[in-house]
This record gives sequence, structure tokens and C-alpha cells, in this order.
Amino acid sequence: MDRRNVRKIFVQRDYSRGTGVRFSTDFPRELTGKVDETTYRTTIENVNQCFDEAEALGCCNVLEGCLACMTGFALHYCFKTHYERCVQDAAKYIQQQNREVYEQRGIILGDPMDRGLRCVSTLYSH
Amino acid sequence: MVKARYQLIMPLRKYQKFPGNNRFWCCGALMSSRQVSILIFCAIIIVVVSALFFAFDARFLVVNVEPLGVGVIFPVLGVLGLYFSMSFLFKTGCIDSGILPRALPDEIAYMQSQGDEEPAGSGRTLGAPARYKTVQHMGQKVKLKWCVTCNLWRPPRASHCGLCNNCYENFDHHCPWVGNCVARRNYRYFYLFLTTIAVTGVYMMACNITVIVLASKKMGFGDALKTYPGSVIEFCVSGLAVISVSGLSCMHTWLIARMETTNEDIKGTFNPRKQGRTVHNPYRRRNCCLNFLFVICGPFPPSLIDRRGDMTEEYQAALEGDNSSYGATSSVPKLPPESPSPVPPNPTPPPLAPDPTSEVISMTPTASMEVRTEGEEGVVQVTVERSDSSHGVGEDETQQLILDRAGHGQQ
Repeated sequence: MDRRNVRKIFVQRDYSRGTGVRFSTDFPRELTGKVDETTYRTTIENVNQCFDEAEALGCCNVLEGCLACMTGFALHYCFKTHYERCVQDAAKYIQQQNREVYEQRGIILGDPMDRGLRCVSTLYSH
Repeated sequence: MVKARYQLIMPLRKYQKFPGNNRFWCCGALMSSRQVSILIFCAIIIVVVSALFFAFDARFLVVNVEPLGVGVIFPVLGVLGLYFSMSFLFKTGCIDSGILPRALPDEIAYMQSQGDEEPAGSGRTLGAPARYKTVQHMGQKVKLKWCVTCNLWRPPRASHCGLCNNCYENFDHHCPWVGNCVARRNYRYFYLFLTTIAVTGVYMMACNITVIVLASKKMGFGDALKTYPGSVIEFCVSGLAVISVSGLSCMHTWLIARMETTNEDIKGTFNPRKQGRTVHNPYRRRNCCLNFLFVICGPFPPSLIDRRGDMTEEYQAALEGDNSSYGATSSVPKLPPESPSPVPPNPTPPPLAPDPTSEVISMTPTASMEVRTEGEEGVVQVTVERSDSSHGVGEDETQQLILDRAGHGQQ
């Protein structure tokens, strides 16, 4: 990507369903004509699903929480938490989507963790 | 000299230039607020009382409780109490409790270009009206407040701590006893610490009474007190701890059952009497057991500040840009930092003073204005909350128009 023509947009958080991590699926105007809306929305929706799973009160989280609590949270020095694994999954998914879909269209999605889960930075050439 | 050499070998880490009022320990692995003396005092008290317990009471009980061998249970329980209370104490006091990292200049520039933020600079003056943005949140309309220090729209339930000068997710309160803010990442440790201290305190008092009773059977009450002064001291210290902590523990049990934070409880966010209408708490689950399960065993969100990460040029530039005044955000180029961006000629360290205009988020603001003085460092925290009736509606409409024009309406 030629660096001189690169611009950034930031996909903001969406609080409509709770305080959990979700990014807005509104299609940014800047990307019109570069990528079709459905592909973009699907990508963001899948990223959101990774975080939904991280924040859900499912078996994995509850079991891990109970065991950690009983060991005085010493368990956390040995294993990665479910949440961290989900965050990694999201980052891997974004990388894979970049390789397969976005890079050839002059777009790069960033890892949301780089921005403290405030937003997804998106680079695009214009 | 040594430091300079060290920095030649080791690259600068992000925690060394962290903009909040925090202290970092062990190369950034641990962090706390500036005041840690009370945390250390707490830890010393726990260790001293436990040492007295193991030295006198536990030894006495192991030997004197019939049948022989059953008494071993007393020191074992004591060790468990000590381990859990110390572990919870340091987990509460020495981790990142849920800091929302500050936005970088390119993000702010982008939000300004979207018409999402006020004209540069006007947010920094004391007494300037606070900026709100209304979004849909779990079926309710919620106002998000713009944090002028952290340059972000504070998420629902988040708040800015004037002492630590950071925004915290699910902010509960700033606790000087554990030397940290209690927020999303350490609330469970804090609650478990209170409960463990209350239970361990009661257990130790019970052991002390047993020791004195058994001893006074042999030698009389007066002599028993003289022979086992450790038990008397322990009884007094544990008693004080139990009295002060058990009330707090009960209060937090009640708050968890209602799924509220202390901050929301004080401001009366969900209190119909304070709000003048019925407000329902959207975070509450089906029953209070699920609330407890979520708080104690729920997800463990990771730290967002990447404090051990190597200092990047982008981050450094952001900190320096931060200092040059917030009005300068308009001069921040809207190009990404990969392109050669002008670096301020006189880089000075980032501001560390607590922001005087730091405001507490209000989900449903009421007409009130209060000035609160936070003890220790004489930090004056001004809380300005604006009424819906006077400005709110008009402002909302304008904001909505701006949002619509930018095509960024969340609703």
C-alpha cells in the first residue's frame, strides 16, 4: 500500500446491547465502492461474536471463574483466561480476513486490542 | 547515569510514560495508585496478627484440644485464611483495575472530522458545559459524557477517578485502603477480600476465646490473660477489623444482589426517589444468584493499557501532542502517523496533575451542581450535572442533527 494515500477511519463501539464489547456495524461512507456492504458487515459481526462469547456467562467462563476463585486466583498465573483466548481469536480472524478479502482492495483492519477495544482502526487507500 | 545506560540496553516501556497518576512496580507487572502506604499497613497488620495466631493460639490448641490430633485443623484453617486474604488484597491493590486507555490524536481528529466532537479547545476551560451524546443502551436512552482528559466518550457505567486521573470501566470507588481504584477488573477480588477478612477475623476471635477459656480452667481467668497476652491483642485487632469490614461486606453483598456499583448507588442512578421516575436497572439478571455468579465467576477482561509493551513512536507522539493543549488536536494532521508528521519542537513531559474539570458520568442527569474536595492532595473535583429541562433537549436535537448529517447515528 502506498503510504501517502492512506487514510484512517475508526469503527466505534456500539453500546445498544450492553456494556460488552461490540463494534458498530454501520457501513462507513469512506469505504463505499471499495468493499461491498454485506462483506464488511459480516466481518464486523463475526468480530462481535468473538467478544460476545468472551463476555457470555457460559460454562467455560463460570467453571474457570469458580476454579480460579477456589485457588485464590493462582490459576491465572498458569493459564490464559477464556477472555484472552477469545480476544486472540478475534485478532486472528481479522488477520485472516485482511489476507483473504481486504488487502487486495486496499483496506487493512486493525486489531481492536491495539486501541484498547475503543475502536477498530481501519486503513484505506484513496 | 546508570539509568541512561539501562535505557540504552532496554527499550522504553509504555508504563514509564503512563499519563495517569499511577505507580508501577516490578517493571510494570504490578501497578497501584500513588498512595500505597495504607495498603502496606493493611498487609503488615494481617501478617502480624496471623503470626501471633500461629505462635500462641494455634500451638496451644494443637496441644490442648481433645482428642489429640483434631487440633491440627486450627493452624490449617489459619493458613488458608492468611493465604486467601493476602492473595485477594494484593490482587485488588496491585493490578490494573480496568483503566480505559486514552484516545490517540488520530482518533480525536477523526471524530472531529465526523462532527462527533465539539470544536477543539472549548472543553478545557473550567465551567464550560459538559458534552453529552445520547445513545440507545439496552432499550434505554443513555447519555455518554465526553471525557476531556481521556478524550473519549465514557462508556455507560464508566467514570473518571480524580485521584488516579484515569477513566475506569464499571467504576465502583477509589479505595485508599487497598491503594487502588475498585472497578471492573478488581471488584471481585475486593469483595472476596472483604468477605475473607470478615470470616477470618471472626474465626480468630473464636480461637482466642477458646484459648482463654481452656487456659482459665487450668489457672484461672486473670492468670490466663497474663500468660497469653498475644490472644488478647489479636482479639482486639480482629474485633476492630471485623466491626469495620463486616458492614462494608454486607453493603457490597446487597449491591451485587442489586447489580449496582457504589458509584451508581451514591448518585442514585437507579433510585426512583432521586430520579423522580421509575428507572430500571438493565444490568440486573434474572435472579440475584446469577448476579453473584456473574460478578464472582464471570468473565475476566484483560488489561487494556498494554503497560509492558515497548514504547512506539506513535504513542510517544500522542503523549507529546497531549501536552501541547487540547486545542492543538485540530492541528493534528488527519493523515495516519505513518506519514511523516510534524513533531512539536519542545517536547515536555505529559501532564500529571489531576484534571480539575473531571466529571462523573451521569446516565440520567439531574439539575445539580456540587463541588467536592477530595482530601489528601487537595484535589478539587468539580461535578457539574446539567438538567434535562434547561438545555438538554435542545442540545440533544442539535447533536442528533450532527449525528444524522455525519451518517453516524447509532439509532
